[in-house]
Amino acid sequence: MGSSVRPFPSDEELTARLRDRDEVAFALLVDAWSSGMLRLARSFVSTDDSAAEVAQETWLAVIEGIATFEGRSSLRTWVYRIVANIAKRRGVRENRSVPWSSLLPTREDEGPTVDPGRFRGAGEPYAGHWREFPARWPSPEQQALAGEVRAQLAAALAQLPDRQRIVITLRDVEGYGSDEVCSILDVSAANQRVLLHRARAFVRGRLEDYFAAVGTESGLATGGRRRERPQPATPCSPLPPASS
Amino acid sequence: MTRRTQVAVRPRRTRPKTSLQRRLLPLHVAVSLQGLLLWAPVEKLFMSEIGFDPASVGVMAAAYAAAVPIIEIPSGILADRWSRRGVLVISSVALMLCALIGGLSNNVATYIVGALVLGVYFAMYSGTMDAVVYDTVLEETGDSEAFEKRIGRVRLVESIALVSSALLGGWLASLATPRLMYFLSVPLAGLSIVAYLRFREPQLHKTEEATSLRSHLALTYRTLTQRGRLLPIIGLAVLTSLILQVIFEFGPLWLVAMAVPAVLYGPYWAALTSTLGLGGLLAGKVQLNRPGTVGAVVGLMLLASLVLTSRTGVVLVTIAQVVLALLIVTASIHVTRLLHDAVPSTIRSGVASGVGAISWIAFLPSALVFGVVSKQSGVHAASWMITAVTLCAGALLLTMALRGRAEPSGAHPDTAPETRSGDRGHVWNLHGSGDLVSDLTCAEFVERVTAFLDGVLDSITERRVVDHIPNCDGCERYLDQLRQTIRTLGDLPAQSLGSEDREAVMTAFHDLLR
Repeated sequence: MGSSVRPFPSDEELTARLRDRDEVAFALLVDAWSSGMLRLARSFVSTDDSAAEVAQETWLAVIEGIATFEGRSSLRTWVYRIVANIAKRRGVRENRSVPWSSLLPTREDEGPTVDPGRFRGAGEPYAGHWREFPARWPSPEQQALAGEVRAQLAAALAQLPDRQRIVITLRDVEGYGSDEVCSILDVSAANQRVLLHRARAFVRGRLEDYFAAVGTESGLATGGRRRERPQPATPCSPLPPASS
Repeated sequence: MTRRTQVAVRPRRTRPKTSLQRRLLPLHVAVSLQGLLLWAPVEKLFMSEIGFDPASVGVMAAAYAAAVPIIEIPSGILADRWSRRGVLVISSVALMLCALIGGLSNNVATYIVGALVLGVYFAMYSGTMDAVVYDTVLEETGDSEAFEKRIGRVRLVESIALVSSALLGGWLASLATPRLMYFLSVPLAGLSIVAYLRFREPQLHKTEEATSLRSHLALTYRTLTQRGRLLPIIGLAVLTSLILQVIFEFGPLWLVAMAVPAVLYGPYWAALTSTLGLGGLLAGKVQLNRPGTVGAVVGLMLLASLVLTSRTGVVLVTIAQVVLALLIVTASIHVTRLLHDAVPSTIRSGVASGVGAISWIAFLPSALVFGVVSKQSGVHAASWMITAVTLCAGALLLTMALRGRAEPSGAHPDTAPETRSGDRGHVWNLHGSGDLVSDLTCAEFVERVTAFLDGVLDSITERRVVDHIPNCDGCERYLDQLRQTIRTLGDLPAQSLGSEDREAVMTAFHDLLR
């Protein structure tokens, strides 16, 4: 697409051009943002078709509402907020309501994100430290499995509770900052972070499981090198004695 | 549809401040109801009516000062392990009971029982309120930046309630009897329970894995005693509260020494209690991490304490006491934040209560000595004790401000994860001197990584995290894997709008042109 060569127009320019009914500018936005919108919408609704309808409805709302855009947030944040609102409403209709209204972390947002069994227990020396270090992963350069890794990631995302998936989609897949996500979803910074934290830990865990399975099957993941034996975690020297 | 989307597109801005204020409102209401101690201004009058003499007042004060620290620690542990709101409700119940027992008292012994129950209230309330406000601020805004301002507001509300109940109670008691003031206070404390129950308690202290009571106690104790960095903070907290307690307990003695007419005690007391609130307001404005500011504040504190050692008029004494109390309240709120920044949420109330207990224990002998010295050589001579303690507190405050400047913490940089990882070595160089014990466990580390990558940890926790990384291959790998996960998530292939849908949208846009 030509748009990747030319720098993306500024918000002021885009807003002005949309208000002037500039079709090129509109097409530019539709092509650039629709995929992210679909992904966000899909977190609220139950089918891809439904998500596509949300995206469509959003673009119509953008056309209608561009006159009221006050520029207090970025244009993209504003558009995404519309996606979130429309998708939320549709999700409720599809009986997939995501309880954003309640800011309380739910039960699924509590407890440790890494299995406590992987750390040494209270009675042991180095309590709270790794029993065995996490196994090494193949380096990103060893791209043989890249496609499969992405499939694993997509599957992991699909397994997440709704609220966690929505936040990690915005933060890590779409690359939004914390402030923008809070603004789009209307949640507090701390709650947004709790959800993101749990989601990331879960997705990392799924990748870990995957690499472990691949490693034991073939050793292919590490370019022929076998997955190394888990190291006993002694070098973790946690407590230089207090000086006092 | 057009209507609906018009609603949808109305830009909504998140205002964390406002939602924080809204959330803290029930606490403000509860605190003001608890502060309406109508009996407080006429307590001494009532006590003399039922047979107290100065000696038995002393016994009561001693019993009280001994009881509070005994209950302080368990109250803090209870707040950390069970519920902060629950402990605050217990404090209200204790307040009701204390007013009831006080009102029913006809002799010294019963009244002392009532005073001990008041001790339960103080022990349950102090520390717990600070921790609950801190956690709420942290939960709503993601960092502790606004804590001083928020706890300052709570102190303000508290002090407005105290000042107004001083004036109201005095006036009402002159119309009726002092005893009635006790009974009138009971339902007010009861209403504060209702307010507390309307408060939504922050859950931060519960998000971490439940530990055994024994290891919880051990961690609280270790934190209080072992952390080199925490010691000056605890020392300062104890010194400031010592000065405050002495001023509030013995401040009126200056007026007694000058044989001031009784009518002046009311305004004097109102001015002194108002410092609790004004100091809170000041705490949000004065930056006590700047050496220059601290120098000015310490100088003013010393000046005020010197005025108290000389024989001057009632106005000057009142001003000196008010100024000293005001600045000490301000400093103590700053210290409270430093303390809370330095400890994890799971033991926050416990540590705060532990510091409270140490303060009471320090106050007991100080009060006895101060009393004896002022009886033998006059209150002005005893006041040199205040000057000495103020000097120590000032020196500590100044040292911490200077040290804070020598080590820019680099906390809260609003940078992307990538930039931060590049900065990492730099941060180590600044903080790697080993003066901060990296006592973070790996189990804690993995729960802090997201806040760490977002750059929103308080400065001390951030350093604990940073110091952990070079010491632990496991956690370094965990962090790398998390970064790799985040990177790969960002590479997920785009899902495009189907050509039909795109067509429909473009047509809709096109239609508008006609």
